[in-house]
Amino acid sequence: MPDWRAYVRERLPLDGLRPELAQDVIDDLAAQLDEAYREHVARGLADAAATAATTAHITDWLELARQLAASRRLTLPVLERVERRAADAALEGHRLAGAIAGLTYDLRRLVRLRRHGGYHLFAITTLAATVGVNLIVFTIVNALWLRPMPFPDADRLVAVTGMAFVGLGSPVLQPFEAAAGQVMTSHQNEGLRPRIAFAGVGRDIETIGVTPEYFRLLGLTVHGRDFTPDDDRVGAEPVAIVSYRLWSRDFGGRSEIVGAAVAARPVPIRIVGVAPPDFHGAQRGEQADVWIPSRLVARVATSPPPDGAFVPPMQVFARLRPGDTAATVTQRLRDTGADPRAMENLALVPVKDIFGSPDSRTIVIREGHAFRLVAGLGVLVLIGGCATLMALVLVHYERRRREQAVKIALGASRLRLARELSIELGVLAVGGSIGAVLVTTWGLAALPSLSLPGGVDLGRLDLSMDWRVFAVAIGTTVLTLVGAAWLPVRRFTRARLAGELIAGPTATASVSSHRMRQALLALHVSATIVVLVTAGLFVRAVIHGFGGAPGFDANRMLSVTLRVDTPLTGFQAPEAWMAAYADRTARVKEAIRGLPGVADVAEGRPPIDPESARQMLAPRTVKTRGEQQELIVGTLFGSSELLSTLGVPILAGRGLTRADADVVPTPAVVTASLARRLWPDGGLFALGQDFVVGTGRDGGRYEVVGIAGDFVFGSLARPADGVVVILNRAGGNRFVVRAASPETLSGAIRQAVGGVVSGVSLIKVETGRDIIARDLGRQRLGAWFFSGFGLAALILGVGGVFGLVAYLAESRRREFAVRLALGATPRDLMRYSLRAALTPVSLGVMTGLALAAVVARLFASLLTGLTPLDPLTYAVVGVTMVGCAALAGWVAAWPLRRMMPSEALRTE
Amino acid sequence: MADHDLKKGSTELLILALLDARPRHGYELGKLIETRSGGRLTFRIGSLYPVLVRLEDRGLITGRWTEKPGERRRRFYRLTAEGRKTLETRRIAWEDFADAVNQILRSRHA
Repeated sequence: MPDWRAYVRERLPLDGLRPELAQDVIDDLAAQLDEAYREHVARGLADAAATAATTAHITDWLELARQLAASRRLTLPVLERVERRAADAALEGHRLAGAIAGLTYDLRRLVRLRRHGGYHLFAITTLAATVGVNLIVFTIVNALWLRPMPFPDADRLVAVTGMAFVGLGSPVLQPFEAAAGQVMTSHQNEGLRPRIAFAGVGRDIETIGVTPEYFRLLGLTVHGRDFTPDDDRVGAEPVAIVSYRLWSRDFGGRSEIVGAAVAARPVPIRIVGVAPPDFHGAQRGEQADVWIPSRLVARVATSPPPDGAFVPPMQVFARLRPGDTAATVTQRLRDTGADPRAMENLALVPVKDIFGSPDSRTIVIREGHAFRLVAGLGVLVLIGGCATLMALVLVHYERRRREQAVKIALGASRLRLARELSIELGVLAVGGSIGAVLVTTWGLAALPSLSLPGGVDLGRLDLSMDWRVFAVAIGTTVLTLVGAAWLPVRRFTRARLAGELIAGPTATASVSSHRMRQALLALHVSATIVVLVTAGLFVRAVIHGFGGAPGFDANRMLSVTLRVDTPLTGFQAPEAWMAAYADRTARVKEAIRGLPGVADVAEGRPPIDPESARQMLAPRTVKTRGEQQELIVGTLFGSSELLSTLGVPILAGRGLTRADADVVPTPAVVTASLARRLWPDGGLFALGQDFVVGTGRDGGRYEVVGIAGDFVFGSLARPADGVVVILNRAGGNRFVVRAASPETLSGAIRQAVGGVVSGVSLIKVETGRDIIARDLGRQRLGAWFFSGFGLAALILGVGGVFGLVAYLAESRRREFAVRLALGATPRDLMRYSLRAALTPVSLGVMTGLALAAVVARLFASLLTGLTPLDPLTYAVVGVTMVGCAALAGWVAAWPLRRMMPSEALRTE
Repeated sequence: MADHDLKKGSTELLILALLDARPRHGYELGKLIETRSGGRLTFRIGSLYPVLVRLEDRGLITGRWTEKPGERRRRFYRLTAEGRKTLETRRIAWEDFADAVNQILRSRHA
């Protein structure tokens, strides 16, 4: 009888079929031929005839092979076929074929990873969140602190702050190499904002008024010519230096523009030079495109005082002489014997530490605690992400332990296993990086709507990515991945893993990995607790901020801010200008008051003003007849109806009236708490008393005519010790409106004001709640940010507990079966498994709470009305974590309830 | 002998129908078709085997090696649940089709 298996194998070409299935095909066909042969023989055919009759069953072997190759089940995937052919060719000595075989092998491994899709998705998401959040944090740090200034030798450039006014000729500037000034155009001086509109340039152009020395002081070379002292004379031809950006984008980079007079509003301007590329202002936050001489500001400002009366307030920049430091120069200035009171608040701040923009006061961003908070936040996120990822990777490889053991037993080298794992981790790294870029992009797009401590407007920062950001992105990804995967990879590529095949899955190695998972769980839980406590504290601070009474009726209040383009000009005397200004203010008030639903309107700013809070809340010397105190005293200027419009009650004495305008000392209403601090008996005793606030030019003498109820001034996070309310004799561009439904009035107010004041370009209408929301921007940012990450960390932590208990229940099946056989109940086993998971959770919770108490101190100043040790927050977070962990563990241990010892042991 | 196209179009249905009763090995299927058709339908192993592979690919049948004491090792094919459903559908369709064709043929001779 022929060997039918050999017969088929010789004739049927099975290249490209899966080896194990090809053998099946051969065996099946051989068995059928054998059956046919036996039947022919049984019918009485001779061997040769029976063989011939049998072989007639298959005549076209190539056609049969072709039909079999059409089966997707039988054939090898393309990659594997290529790999096999390349491997065969490599055996024949083709070197390139060997490389192709290796490459296709790696590619096949990559394709097979989709089997673990859930694990990869989870790991990539964790990596993306961890790296993305760190990148966002670092991009802000980079923009605020690290990015080099766009001019040389920035370390020697300082801003002279803390003095009411420093003229450039002042002896105060003697110790410096050079000095220059920049007109202050914050919204305190809204009317001084230069507004230039070039013909053909539609957008609003940010313009800064500077003294002629400005570009030289910064060490910048202007293309064309720099400003000269002649340009800064009253009546000189209007000239400007434009940014490279404006010149190249809006003027097409044409060289003839430089030196040419260009049509512009309100006056034609000669462009004398172009600033170096990427320069948009000396301070971080400036996005200027045009610089004009400081004297020109008076002619192009929104609503400047009359010519001649205009002395622009200057921000002075100075360059230290080589060898000098800010501290030595400050000391030298104080030693010169100049007016000591004027020198009291003098500070030299490196320009690179300043954030300034036309919409916010200059802010010193060299805040140690802010930097520590931001850096600490990044580290916390990194630790949490690493712990989560490490637990994930460990669990993943724990499940594949047997697979690895088989591979080692079959002779796979450690190098090969490490290579396989590297490919897998590479996939995580690539996926995580793409995810991180998405998280960062979305995060940075959302950031400008939020603000940082100190009121830094993130929208004005240069948040573009530079090499530092990329370096940190790569570094963080590698650090996270190496930190998370190093240990698992080391454990699963070691040679003795093969011994587990013999010892079974309950070998001692499982015990050690179980301990490691417990340790990781504890680490993860403690990081989660810190994030959750931080989130909880911020959420509570926001709730407190919205719920707490600010002392004025924020719910029925509107703040209206105007920006008037048409300046009040043509007045010879300041008095005439002031009268016109007051008249315009009165017209605006009447227009608003006439609207239905408006109860009252007053000129003045709302007491809470997030942008100016820092400047408003500086400590000042307050003198009464008996003593002198350092207090944070706010001064609220406004029309006589301001307090009643705000809903602040007068507790004693009277409110302000128009008759108080020219009285000396200035009549003032003080808040009750300030009255108590200045005059220990407070109350009525304070009425009629006089006091002095501040020193030097800023100082003023006031007489108490009334005592008002306490209200928050400046910021909810750090309110003033008290407020002095005085009458604003001139007009103003800010108004407070009292209405039953303030949110419905916005459009009507815009229309009404636009009808009585010509040339109004901006009417900003905000409800009291909007202002509080803005004031709580940092807390809201913290609440959103930490809540999001805390929730993700909680879910990962709960998943970790579930995985640990499920793993325990599975890996200790044999042990549990023996225990059951010896009399333990399923309930005992569930308790045991739960205890194994809840012990590290409890440890993590305790460590986390202790750590959170330390971390919370870093941002204690942001916690409005809360202590960093708020017991409710800590209790809720602790109980939530333990409760969620217990629930997850209970669900995971549930299958143990029906465990039968005999069944469990049999499956072993 | 039946027409080649008719045979080709009905092979799958024949195999499914024969596997409906019980699992059978490949050669047995060929023999049964021949026997039950009175010798009018014959299939060689070389033409029946690719059909079996195709049916298995589509999940209508599944093959399993069986080795009984005193017998040789053979691969038995059985219907899957999906295969059973397909058989029912195709059986009805075939009967409808054959009925319709028969009616036409008979009416022509009437």
